Order: sequence, then structure tokens, then C-alpha cells
Amino acid sequence: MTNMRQKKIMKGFGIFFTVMIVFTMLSRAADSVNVVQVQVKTIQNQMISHKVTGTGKVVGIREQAVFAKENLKVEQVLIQEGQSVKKDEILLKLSMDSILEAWKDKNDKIEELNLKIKDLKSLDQVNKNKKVFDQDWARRSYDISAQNSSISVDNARLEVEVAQQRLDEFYQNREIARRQAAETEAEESMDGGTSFIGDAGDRSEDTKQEDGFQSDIKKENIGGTSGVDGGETADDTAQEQALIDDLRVKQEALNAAIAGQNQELAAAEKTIEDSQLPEAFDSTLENTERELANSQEDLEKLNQLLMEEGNIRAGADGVVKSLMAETGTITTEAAVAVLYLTGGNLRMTGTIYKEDLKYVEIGSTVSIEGSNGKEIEAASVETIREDETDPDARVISIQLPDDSLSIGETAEFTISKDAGPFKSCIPLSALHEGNGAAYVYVIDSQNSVLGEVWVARRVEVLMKDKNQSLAALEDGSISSDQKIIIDSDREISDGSRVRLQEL
Amino acid sequence: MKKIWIIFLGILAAVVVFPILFLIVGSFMGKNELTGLIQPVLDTNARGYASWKLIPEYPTLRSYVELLLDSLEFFVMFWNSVKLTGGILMGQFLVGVPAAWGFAKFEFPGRKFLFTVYIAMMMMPFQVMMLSNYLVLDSLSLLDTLSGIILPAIFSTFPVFIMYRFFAGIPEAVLGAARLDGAGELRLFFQIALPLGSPGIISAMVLGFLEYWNMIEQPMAFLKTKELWPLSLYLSNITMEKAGVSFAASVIVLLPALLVFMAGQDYLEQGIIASAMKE
Repeated sequence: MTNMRQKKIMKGFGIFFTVMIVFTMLSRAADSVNVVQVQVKTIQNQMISHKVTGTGKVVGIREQAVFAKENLKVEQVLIQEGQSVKKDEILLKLSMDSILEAWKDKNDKIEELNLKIKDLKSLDQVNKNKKVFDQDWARRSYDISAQNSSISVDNARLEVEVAQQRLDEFYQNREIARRQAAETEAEESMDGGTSFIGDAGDRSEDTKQEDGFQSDIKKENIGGTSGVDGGETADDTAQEQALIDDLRVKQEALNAAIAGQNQELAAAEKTIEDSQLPEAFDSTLENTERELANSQEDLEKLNQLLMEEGNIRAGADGVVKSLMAETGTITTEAAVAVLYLTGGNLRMTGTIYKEDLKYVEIGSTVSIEGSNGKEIEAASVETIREDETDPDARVISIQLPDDSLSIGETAEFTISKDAGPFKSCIPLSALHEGNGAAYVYVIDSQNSVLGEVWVARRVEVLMKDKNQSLAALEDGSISSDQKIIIDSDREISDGSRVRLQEL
Repeated sequence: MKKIWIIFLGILAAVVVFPILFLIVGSFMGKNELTGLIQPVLDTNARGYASWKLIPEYPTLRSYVELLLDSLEFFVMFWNSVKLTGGILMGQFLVGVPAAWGFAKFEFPGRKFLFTVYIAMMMMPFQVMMLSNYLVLDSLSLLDTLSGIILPAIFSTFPVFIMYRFFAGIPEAVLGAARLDGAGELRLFFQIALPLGSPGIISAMVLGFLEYWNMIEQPMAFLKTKELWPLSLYLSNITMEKAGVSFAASVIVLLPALLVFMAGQDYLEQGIIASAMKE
């Protein structure tokens, strides 16, 4: 009984150890599968080559706009953007109805303009004739005014002379009478009166000669006084005063006549000057004539379009850059299409990221691979400008050698710029970033229950530069003998057990 | 009166068996359940007291699967324990059995003194012998090797003492008859001593297995390389994350000890009785 029990126990022992052996092997197999396999590499002294790549489209440098007569309906557009066209190839077709309608309108307008020009010319001639007549009439009016006013003045002057003469005769007669009275009185008394009269008579004569009419009045007064004093009668005095007054009236009339003459002559001269004034320039006729010429040119174009049956053709071989016309729309003054002319230099435009600008500059050499695999090395960056649609992008223009690619072709461009050499370069796959810090995993041996095993250790590093495949670290971040994990078959973390991948 | 004794002893047995039950129940618990129950013990930041259940809320074999298929460390340490225990027991068999036979049946000068020294050595705890062991192992370049653990244990005095009692019980008449029949000393040893002293040898081996299977002080003192550690040190490295695995590991570690105990239960009792007898 005891032996049976012991045998069972021993059998159980055997089973237990057999099971443990099996699970040991299974566990080892599972462990070998579960342990992360990694590839390692040490830091290397390398150059960092920055490559900026992108896709661009080849365009021409020389452009040609294709225009069509405005306000015509587009019946059919036969091209599309990017399409190659030959010289005289039909690009689009305009509606014949709209061309005929425009032709008729233009004809009517030309006829209308012709009539208008005729009217304007006639009016101009009439105006010129009228101006000549007005000038002649003004001159004649001046002459007549001059003659009439001269007659009036002469008459007034004559009246003054007559009045003066009368006054003079009065004085003479009074003098004669005074002399006669003096002689008579002298005869009666030989003193005084004669010398007094004589002095008065001399003075009166001098005054007359010097001062004219006013002197005559003085002389008259003096004489009067003398006369009174000499015993003149009241009738003489009244007559003298009447004559003086008459002379004054005549003199005023003369002055008025002279003033009137001057006024009339000034008015006549004004009329002459007015008639000679230049008239405002009127360009209506010239404008109308110019409008007529334009209309005739338009008509000529319409005639050509009619002869072409409304077809708009390419002026040269090229590729359609842009197409503004659409079927059913109305043409405008703007071009209906723009062509890149084939031949000569080409340009390629592409987009790069803003952060790649530090690797691209004007004049940088560009490698280009066309869609058919053709490689071009002699290209260079021509311009760099902002992309209006994307603030984080920049549009670069690349000048291509003559006839290297076809207009409209899509090509891959690569711009390279080397930096370094850097002492601590690692593959970019080895560099990890998190929480704003860059780090790598290096392998480290660890004494564990399983023996000496490799574990991943996180080491924070400072990055100096990087490209699509390499990263340059600050010197001293990693020692030259540390093995950096560059690849693993699954995600690893600090302390993960790893084993080196068998190559 | 007898029923009272049975109930009393049953309660005591339940108390003694509870840790085993504790282990078995824990090995079938899920991680979350275990965390909720024993986190205050394993997590220094946790507050409160650990608690326990006799029936898992959601029984699972996950811990056993993880232990058996995804814990290579456990197997490395398991086989280290097997190597240590096996090596020690084999060495003790090779060294201890002849020594015990010699003490039991050969008369030589100083035998009594030497045996007294043996007894005295047996009484000394490991800590007393640790420094001298260390110096000797260091001079033999056996530090941090399994041999460094095995070698001192091979010369343990306790199995000699156990087996001595059994060999001493072999009647001299049997040996004398064999000698008269022409048997030499080796023949006496192999054909008389070993068969008749087998209960003592087995009991010494069973006791030795139970001691060295759970050996913890010597590996901790002499083994720096974790690769050589036995299972007894694996359990000391258990964290909250692997609590379930540790319960499963404890159950599996228990199995060989249980089997050995069951196989040598009868001899073990004899051995314990023999060790209790005075010279």
C-alpha cells in the first residue's frame, strides 16, 4: 500500500518536472518572441545634406494674349488649359449672329457719325463767317461813332467861340465907350481916371491872353468894377453877365460833347475788341472724327471676323496657359486666352514649405526629374515669393535650360544644401521627440535573473541639425562607443529588454 | 470530550492550513481584485489594511498562464533551486551517509569528541558560520557560484546526525553474521547498512529537501549574480503588478515540497523521532 502510494507520488514528481521542462521551453520561446529586436549603430562623423523636394509644373517665359472683339457671344471653346496649340489653330468660335448684329450696329454708328461730322463742319463754317461780320460791323460802328462825336464837339467848340467872340465884342464896345467917356472926362479933369482906366485896360488884356475864359471873367469883373467905379450903367453889367453865363454854358456843352465823344469811342473800341476775342476750343468734331475712325477699325475687324466665320485662331505655336472665355459668355476687352509660346527658355514653378526656406536661396542649383524620367541638373532657383493661398508655403520659380522639358509637364525638383560635417550623426529613425525634448535609446547591459541582458536606456540629447534621414547631435550628448537603437520591431521604452537583431 | 478535542484540533488545523488556502485562492484572483485586497501591503503609499476573501470574485487562470508562459525568470530560478537542492542532497548522500556509518559503527580515537563537535556545529545558526564560509569560499573562488552554496551544505552535520541514529540501530549481530560469511566492510556498507538504514537516509533527504528548497540566507549572502538566484529570492522581488503571478508561483513552488513530504512522510516521522532521541 505504501509502495503504491510512493510510486504514485514519484509518478507525480515525474509529471511535475516534465511539465516544468515543457513550460520552461515554451516560456523561453515566448520570451525570445516577446523581447524587442533592435538594430544599433554608433554615432558617425557625417555631413547633413538637406534636400527640399517638391513637384512643379513647367511653364513658358514668353506669353501671348489672344484677344477677341468685345461684346460678342462665345459659341464654342475648342481648347483647354495646358493644351498645346499650333499657329492658326482655332481656339474658339464666336457666334455669327452676334457678329452680324455688331456689324450692323457699327455700320449704323458710322453713318450717324458721318452725319454728325457734316453737321459740325457746317456749323463751324457759319460761326467763322459770323465772326468776320461782327468784326467788320464793330469797326464801322467805331468809325461812325468817331465821326458823330467829332461833329458834336466841333459844334460845341464853335458855340464856345461864338460866345467868346460876343463877350469880347462886348468888352471892346464897353472899352470904346469908356474911352470915349474918359476922353470926355479928361477933358473935364486931366488926372486919375485915365491912368486908372489905362491900367485896368492893360491888365484886362494880359489876363485874356493868359487864362482864356476864366481870365476873361476876371477881366470882365475887374472891368465891371472899374466900370462901376468908372460909372458904367447897370444894363452893361447885366449884359456882360449874360454873355459870361452864355459862354459858360457853351463851354460846359463843349465839355459834355468831348466826354460823350470819348464814351462813344470807348464803347466802339470795346465792341471791336469783343469781336476779336478768340472763341472757346471745341473738339467735338475731332472727337467725332476719331470715333468714326475707331468705328471703322472695329468694322474692319468685324469684317475680318465675318470672313473667318467667327473663328479665333492662335497667333503662334504654344500651350494654353489660361483660358478666360467660356462657352455662352460675352467677350470683354480682356484676353480670351493666354498662350505660352514654345521654344526658348522655360520656367518651372513649385511650392516648398516655409521652414525649408533656410535651405533654398535664389541661384540654388536644382535637380529636376521629368515625368518621363528625364533628369536635368543645370536648373537654378530664379525667384522665391509668398504663396497667397497658404501662408506656410512659398512659391519658387526655377529657370530651366532651353527646350529641356515640355510646357505643362509636371516634374519633381530637388534642391540640396550640405551642412557640417557633424561629429555626432545618427539615423533620424533613432531620434525620438516628446514633451519638447529629443532623446535616443541606447542599449545597456543589465544583470538580471536571465543573466546579462540588453535593456534600452533613454538618453536626452540636443539636436543641432537634421534632414530626412540623419540627425546631428550636440557633441558630447552620446559617446562614440554607445550603441544607439536605430530600429526596433516594436515600440520600446526606457528599461525595455531588447536583443540585437541578427543580420 | 473526544469531540471537543477533534473540534479544537480541527480549528488549529484550519489555522495552520489557512496560509496554503490563502495562496491557492490568491492565485485564482484577477489583478484588480488582488490590488484591492493587498495594496496596503505592497504599496507603501496606500493606506488602510489588507483584507482577504476565501472565494475569488472572478476566478481566472491568468496568473498561471502568465507565470508559465511569460515569466522566464521563474523557470530560471526554479531550475536554480532544483540544481542547488539536487546538488546538496546528492553531496550529502555521498558524504553524509559514510560519515554517519563511520560514526555509528567504527571505533576510532576521538570519535566521541568529533561527534560532539558535529552536534555543536549543527546547533550553530547560519549567521555564525557566514563569515568563515565567506572567507573560505572567497579563497576557493567559489563566491557567486552555485558551487559556493552547494559545497558548504554538502558537509552539513544535520543529515549525519539523523542517519547516525538509524545506522546505530542496526544490530551488531547482523553485521557480525555478515562478517562471518566473509563480507568485507564495503559490502557491509552497501548490502547491510544502506538497505537497513534507508529510512534514515530518506528522512534525512526529505528534511534536507524541505530545508534547501526554501533556502534564502545562503543565496542572499553568497550570490550576487541574479542569474543564479533560487526561487526563494524570486518571491521577494514581487511587486503589486505581479502579485497574482507571485501567488501562482508560490503554489507551484509548494508542489515539489508537498510531493516530497508525501513520499517521505513515514520516514520523515522516523527521522524526526530519531533526531529527538538523545545520545
